[in-house]
Amino acid sequence: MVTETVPVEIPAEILQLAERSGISREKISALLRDFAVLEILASSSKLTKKDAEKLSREIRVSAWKRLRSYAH
Amino acid sequence: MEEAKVIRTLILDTNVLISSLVRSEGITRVSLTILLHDENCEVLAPADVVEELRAHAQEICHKAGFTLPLLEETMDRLFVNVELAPLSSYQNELHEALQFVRDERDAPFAALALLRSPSTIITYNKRHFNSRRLVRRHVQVLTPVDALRELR
Repeated sequence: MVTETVPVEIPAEILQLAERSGISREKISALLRDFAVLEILASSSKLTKKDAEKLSREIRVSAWKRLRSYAH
Repeated sequence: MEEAKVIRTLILDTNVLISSLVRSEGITRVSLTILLHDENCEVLAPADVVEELRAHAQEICHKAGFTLPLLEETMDRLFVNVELAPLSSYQNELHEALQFVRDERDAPFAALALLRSPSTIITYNKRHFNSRRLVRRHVQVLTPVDALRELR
């Protein structure tokens, strides 16, 4: 198995905000793990804001095709 | 006597999840992960929209340069903290929700927010929602960063 170590910078504000927002110390480690996973994924991302908007629109359009008959 | 905890109900727009995958959107990733782990919040999303998000995973990977297993693992982790609401739960609100959105495709989020009112829609498409009318029904529309500020 090949492993790679990727440095992830945790912004100091995330800890301060987390504590102020009422997250217990035990839950902070889970929060940091999720943040790190998301950060690692995004660090190699080629996705632009325009791509993100287009994808969001496509997802909503596809979902609405299935749901619209329940709204009318 | 112990004070009862006030749980805030957040309805997560999928555009926030997609935005968090943009490299420069670090603030979105910070806000999103805090909101998902906040013990005073419950986070919901329409199951059908999330299903479509997963159906588009290959396309997201293609555009972003991710591998599918890594994207799926990340989504799985994030969705552990999201309650996926089936259509059957908010179907009765869907027609009414059309009065509260400028783009009918946002109706599932508004319907879920009306069902679980008082609630907050977390989105980057604030303009798509008729915030004034929604406030009268005890539904706020905020960006992830603004929602976080309110929690402080």
